Amino acid sequence: MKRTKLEKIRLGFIFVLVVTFFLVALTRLVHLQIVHGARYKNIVERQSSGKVAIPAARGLIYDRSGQLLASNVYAPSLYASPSSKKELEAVAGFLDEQFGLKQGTSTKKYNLAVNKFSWIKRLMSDELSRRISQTAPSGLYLRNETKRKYAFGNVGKQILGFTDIDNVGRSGIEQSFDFMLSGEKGWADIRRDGLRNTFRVKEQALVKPVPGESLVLTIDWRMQEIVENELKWAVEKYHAKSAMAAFVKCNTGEILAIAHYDPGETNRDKPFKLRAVTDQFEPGSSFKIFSAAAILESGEINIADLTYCENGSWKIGKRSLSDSEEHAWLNFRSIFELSSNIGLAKNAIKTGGRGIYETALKFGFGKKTDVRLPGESPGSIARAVDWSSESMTASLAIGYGVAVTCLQMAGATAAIANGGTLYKPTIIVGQVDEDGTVVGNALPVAVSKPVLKSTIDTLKSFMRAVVETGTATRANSELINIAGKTGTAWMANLEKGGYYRSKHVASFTGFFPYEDPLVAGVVVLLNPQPVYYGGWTAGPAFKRIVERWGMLNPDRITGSGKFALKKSDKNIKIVEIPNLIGRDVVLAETMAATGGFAFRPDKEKGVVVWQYPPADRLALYGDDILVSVQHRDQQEKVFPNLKGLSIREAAAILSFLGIKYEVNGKGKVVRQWPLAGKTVNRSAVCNVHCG
Amino acid sequence: MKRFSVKNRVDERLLLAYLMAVTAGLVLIYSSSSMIAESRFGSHAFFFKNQLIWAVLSFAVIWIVCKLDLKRLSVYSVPALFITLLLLVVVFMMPPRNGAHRWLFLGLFSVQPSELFKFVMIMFLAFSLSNHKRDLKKLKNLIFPYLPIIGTALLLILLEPDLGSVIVISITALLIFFLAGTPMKYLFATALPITGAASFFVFVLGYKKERVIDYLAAIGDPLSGSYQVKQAALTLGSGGLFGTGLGDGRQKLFFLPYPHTDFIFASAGEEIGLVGLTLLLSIMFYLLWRGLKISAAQPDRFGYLLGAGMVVTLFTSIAINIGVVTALLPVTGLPLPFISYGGSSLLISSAAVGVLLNLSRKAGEL
Repeated sequence: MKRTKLEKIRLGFIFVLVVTFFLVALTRLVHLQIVHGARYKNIVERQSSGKVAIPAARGLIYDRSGQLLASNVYAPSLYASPSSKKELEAVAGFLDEQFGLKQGTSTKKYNLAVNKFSWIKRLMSDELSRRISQTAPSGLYLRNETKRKYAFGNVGKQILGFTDIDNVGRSGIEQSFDFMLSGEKGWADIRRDGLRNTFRVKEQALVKPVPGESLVLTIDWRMQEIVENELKWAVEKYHAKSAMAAFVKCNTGEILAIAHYDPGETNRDKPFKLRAVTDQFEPGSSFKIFSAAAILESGEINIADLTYCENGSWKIGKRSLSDSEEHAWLNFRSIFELSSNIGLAKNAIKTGGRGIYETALKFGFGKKTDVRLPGESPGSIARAVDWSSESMTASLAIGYGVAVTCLQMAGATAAIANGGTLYKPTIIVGQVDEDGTVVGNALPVAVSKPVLKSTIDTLKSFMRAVVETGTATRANSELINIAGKTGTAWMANLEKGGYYRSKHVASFTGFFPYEDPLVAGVVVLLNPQPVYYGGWTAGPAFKRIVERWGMLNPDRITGSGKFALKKSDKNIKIVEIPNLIGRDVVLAETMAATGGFAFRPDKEKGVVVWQYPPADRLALYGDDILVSVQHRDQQEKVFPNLKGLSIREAAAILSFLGIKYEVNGKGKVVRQWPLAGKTVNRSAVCNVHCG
Repeated sequence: MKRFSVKNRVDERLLLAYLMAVTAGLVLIYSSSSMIAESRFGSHAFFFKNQLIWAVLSFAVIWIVCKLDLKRLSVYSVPALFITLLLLVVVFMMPPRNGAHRWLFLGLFSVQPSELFKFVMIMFLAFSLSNHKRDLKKLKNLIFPYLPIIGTALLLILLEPDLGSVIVISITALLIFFLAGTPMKYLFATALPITGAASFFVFVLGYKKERVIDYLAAIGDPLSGSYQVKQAALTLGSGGLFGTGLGDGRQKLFFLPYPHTDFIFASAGEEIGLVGLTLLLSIMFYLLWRGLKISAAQPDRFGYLLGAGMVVTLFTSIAINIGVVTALLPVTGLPLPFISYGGSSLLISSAAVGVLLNLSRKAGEL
């Protein structure tokens, strides 16, 4: 049967409809794909690509001996970016459960919203991130970020400072050298999908990140630890409010250790201040080192001349001066040694206040040292309108109206110790270049030469006398001869002005070894009680630091060790010192206690490897025995595989393990002896060949 | 009776066009869905594998349909129609998926009864309208029994809700009446009140007025349209003349919604460009054209109406889907026959092709 005419027409109409549709569709496609094609492609390109910053590795920080102090570790961060309402609910439910929140609170707490990026928890522990990554619903993602790792925990943290969650330095070295440590971010092209949160790096980075520069500090981390320990000891022993100290290398100005301890300080891992640089204190009699320098330099007095010391009390103008002990006639040496305020004031008046003021300026007081640590305080010296005022001159000479920082004091004392050159204090030795070589201008910068060598020599002998027979006999060490000056001042009342008559600042400023000065420094105790004299509190703390420094540098021990035996006292019981070397520290302590000795280990666990005095000596009952303790597991080391590492990386690993090493050649490590996995003795030296 | 003896084989050209379309569909589904499949199911070939199974099933359906004597079976379209109506009710007892009751879950797979209804309705209309006793010039014969049956089905599908299917089924039914020779006045009489009611709802009562206004603006500038319209246009446009190449499209990465189902034509456009889409459209056009030829050459009215009915339903789906994707029609969810991911759609479209192939054996020289 043929189609009827009507059917043919209607079928034809359908055919026309079909053809029309396909023509319209094609026209539309040409319109969209050809006419608008380029423009649409651009929009798609824009909405599906972007740039993402590649963080630069932060520079490492080493101490002067190559110990790695600050490094970087990767830690996962959790963020939410739910793409739908359903995902949002799943994410919120999961977070409520995971972090033990009340149901429905996490949405508000973390500002969750569909297609919105929000951090949940940054820099998580591995354990937590593993747990979360196994069970997290879609919409929660992990991203690796770096965080700072400090090898020695809170030791020296005041110097290093800390970085915030975005790895930007917020205090200490991390802040002041952030411009070097942070490096430069790189950029990568990325492809982005419609959910806006999954990234795919399209190709290699467009701009490679420049890693931050690694720094080598002047600090000796072992000494830093000693200083921190002993400050804590002193605060506890002398019931002080807090303590601070600074030690510099005499002939360079390099800071070896700088610290404070305050039992009331919270957040020790995130310290904002390094008080030895940011806080000033009144040195009191310690300042007499510099007024005596000015008086001696003037050449107007003879050190043998006697001065009448008014039996301990003298009125000058409206002020009255007093001494802690009554003296009648004293020569200049004794005035210094016994710290007579009256004697020194009279001599100062004789030579004039201006000279003392100017000498103090030359020693660096009253202005910042520009050490490149944040928040440095300049300190201050009261400047008289008219230096003919006897009372002003007297006050300045005995250190009242003077405010200094520990760092200024240590630096000025170093200038005395090294024979008269004031060096600018430094905290950085230099940067580490790609080969692991330390580069940078490590040359010491001489700021001034305040006084003549002859003045210095006289002054140094005075300072030694202070410790041997003067106000600081408690700071005298058998191991290393110390020279210094004590100071006891009223604490300034920062709220009302004036001074607290019952609160004191005790200080001891000195250098050691006396014969060949290496280190100069100051220990300051704030408000020790009930005993508050510098010679009785800060002095012993200084001595303990010096003695433990001596344990690290046994070749520098100069003392006779027989000092105590010279004093003949019928109550003295002489005991033979036991041999503690090789004993477990607990056993050694018992042995020392049996002999009546005070046992002073530098660590609480391990085996004794060194002791002082040695075992064949005789000592007083109640004397200290210093011992150096090694952890048992540090006796022997398993040598790590260093092949393929750069010298810098290999050195960091070896110094972390405490293995001594020698490097031959340049570049990457190609051979090593002993081989990886071998056990090496702690004292063994390992050869690392590079090529 | 030369044509019966000579032409006993199916139309190979139609079969070839069909196979090309299904193959293209499989390739495009893999390309557009692999990322989503990977992120949602952990397997990049998840959708592809499913569709491959449906394609194999579809070939079986075609083979079976080709063997049947459709004319003798057409009597059973009446009870079949009532069964599918029943299924459209059963759907509401099924748990909803994406908030809609469109699917009948049969263990391993699910089917859409609305697709089944469309197919059975065409069979029924061809059977019923080819009856010589039925005088189509009388209004009474046009209203009964079609209006109650089709009306009920459309209402049920509208409630699912599945507006897209309602539109396709309505237009298919109207075009079959048109092809059967229904006077134009009656056809207009049906079309006018629908258009009037829709206009009243939209422009007077403001129902989805925003969407309509947006749609009208989007015809001129697709970027001013809704997110879907905008992304679809961007996807097509960024393909340009030759496309980015298969697999290299960006828009399927969660920018373009439904890149492997309703908007597969757009994601294809990005990767194969205008050239590829023209080829795809040509295959479809050729398929429809062969269908029309087969229908025209049928020896009887039943075959004519059945074949043409299958062609118009395929054409309506294709036209609406592509119209939506190219921002010429307002957004409504409909798959692109042969190409989009989805078992029911592929199975019913293939059955339609199967019917045409069956009919082609009686069509003589084409």
